[in-house]
Amino acid sequence: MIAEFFVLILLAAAAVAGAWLIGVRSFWLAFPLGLAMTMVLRVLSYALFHEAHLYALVNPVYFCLLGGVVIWAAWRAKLGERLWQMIAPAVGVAVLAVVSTRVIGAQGTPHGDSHWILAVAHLFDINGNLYILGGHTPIKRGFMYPMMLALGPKDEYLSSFTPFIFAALGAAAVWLIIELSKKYDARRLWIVSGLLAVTTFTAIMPLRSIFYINGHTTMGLGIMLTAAGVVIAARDGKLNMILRVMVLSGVFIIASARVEGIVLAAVAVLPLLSRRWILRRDIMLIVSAATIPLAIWLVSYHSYLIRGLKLPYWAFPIVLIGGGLIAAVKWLDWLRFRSVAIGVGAFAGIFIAAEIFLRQGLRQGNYALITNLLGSVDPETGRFIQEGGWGLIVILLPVALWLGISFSRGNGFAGWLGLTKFSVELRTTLVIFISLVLSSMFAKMLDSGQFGSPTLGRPGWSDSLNRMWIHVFALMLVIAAVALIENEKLWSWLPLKKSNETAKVAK
Amino acid sequence: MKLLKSWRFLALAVVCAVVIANNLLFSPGKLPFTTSYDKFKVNEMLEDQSWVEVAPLVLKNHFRNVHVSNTGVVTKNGFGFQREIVRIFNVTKDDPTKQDPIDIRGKITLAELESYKQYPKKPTVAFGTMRNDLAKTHCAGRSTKYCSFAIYWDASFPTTSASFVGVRITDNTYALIEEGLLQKVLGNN
Repeated sequence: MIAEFFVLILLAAAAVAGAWLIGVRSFWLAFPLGLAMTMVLRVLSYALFHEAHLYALVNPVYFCLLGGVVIWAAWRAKLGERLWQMIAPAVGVAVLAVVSTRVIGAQGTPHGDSHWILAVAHLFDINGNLYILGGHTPIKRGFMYPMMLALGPKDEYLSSFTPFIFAALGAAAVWLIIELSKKYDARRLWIVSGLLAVTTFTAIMPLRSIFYINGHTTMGLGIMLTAAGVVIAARDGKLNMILRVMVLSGVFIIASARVEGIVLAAVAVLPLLSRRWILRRDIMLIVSAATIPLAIWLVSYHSYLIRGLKLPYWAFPIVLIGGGLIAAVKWLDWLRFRSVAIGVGAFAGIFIAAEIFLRQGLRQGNYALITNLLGSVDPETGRFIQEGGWGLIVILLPVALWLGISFSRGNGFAGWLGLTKFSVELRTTLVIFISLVLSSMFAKMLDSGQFGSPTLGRPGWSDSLNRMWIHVFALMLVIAAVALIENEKLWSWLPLKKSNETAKVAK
Repeated sequence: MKLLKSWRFLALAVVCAVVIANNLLFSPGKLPFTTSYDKFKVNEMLEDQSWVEVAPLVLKNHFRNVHVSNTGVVTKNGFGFQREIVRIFNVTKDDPTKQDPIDIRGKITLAELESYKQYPKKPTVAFGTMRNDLAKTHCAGRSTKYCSFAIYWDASFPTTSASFVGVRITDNTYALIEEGLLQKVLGNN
């Protein structure tokens, strides 16, 4: 237990210190962004020493690097700079996380995928030969998450990392809501946050994902950081250092957390890559942030995917990373500028075509999708059941959008949909969310298509598509919250603050 | 009251109330995680939670040297003895998939073996028509995806080495039985 306290406190302190060093001064961002940076560092340092067969150095070097980051930040921090005030709450979260699993003994729902992940984490822990994981089953369990779990005491796993990463996801969501609504009355933020928090945490799946051992919340963190970076960069028309690190670390996490990540990473960054002002250097960095971890993962595992391609192992990373850089080529700009519409249109088209041409095969899957997200009447017992565990929180998004929708037709596609009253950043977030939902369903159909006919899953919380909603539910809450906060008509009852009233009188 | 005049906010409040009521009404009534769990060693936890792939690890947890035969191929007549788990936990060098499980249907009953059952130690969640005191294993070659499963050895003779044989006890029940114990119970019948 002492070792776990040490590791998680070190991770928390190094995370905030790392984010502080690149200029982040808000705890809500420093904690999740810094944690993402430490996870990227873990994968890179592991890969370096593992490939060099210096197994004994893997963990000690990583811990030294984390300690070095804290010392460096402490060295740079001057009196009055908020480094320690930011580190303290992160350490508090770490202590709470360790207490929850090691003292209270909180344990997530047992599940076969969790067991596989723990077995893979054990292999990382003993610095075993990863080539034995080249088969189909364990490769689906992800790379980064079991690698982080392997930081636990010998032969044990880092049990508190799972709630810790959930807390980081929550902090990132809070930061994005604050960032997108900072020009509005703070009381709106408090009211909306309270309402959404209660509605969310009365449902089972958000509670389950706190302790459930799987890479979904890690993926959710990557998606949240990427979306936040993309949306704010698109709003400001520039990609500064902090936003760049957010997008790069977010994409890195998405691509290494789960095997479908590369698809989700691609669609999440399209609204940024399609901008005319983005530098080609940044395009190459962002694409490489997805292809490099995937290459490391597949090469480390001696993946069946590489064997299937019959490529030499040294050639695969070159082809993958080099191929990704094509996105920055000038003569593909016409495609890049239209990539959001093409991407969303393509996924929507595939989904509609599948529904038409595979309607028999998808009948069960469609039922599963609806019963998991909204519920259905059990034909045997006649009772209303919600097998997915999401309660009815999915309806919060359409309700929040509907309350703010404009019924007078505006210009363009957004105007046609009545979304012109919403801010550009909210609409960008919505585009990312819809792209992620469509690509998740595409990934599910692709995965199930390997073993029979494409499907959209089966009823039950453990269905993989149902669990994939953990990746995006926090983003959905951010969109709902901001849509409600932005909606002036919703707040006509709220008395103006005294300072505002005084300002009005003065005018 | 200004608040009552804002139909939009009232609508939002009503929707949130409906969602909360629904979530509480149709939730299973218990938290989706347990407390007071005290197993953090990966190998102990996997055995404790009766993972469907855990058979090789159970043997490794209790014996230093293990030989295994007759598990068969999971997609044909055999049951799950996952090669990757064998390698991750360094269980055995054998390839037990070469021979199908020995068919002892009608020769030995589960009741006769009960006193030697070492895995699962505690009742597992029942599913379908399965006995609730057996674990489950993959058996894709059968009409069902999962079959009942247990591991038997005679714990009154402590040893660090053992040989296990895969057997088929009923149509949908497989087991790994220590070789000496198998001969003993077969000899008794």
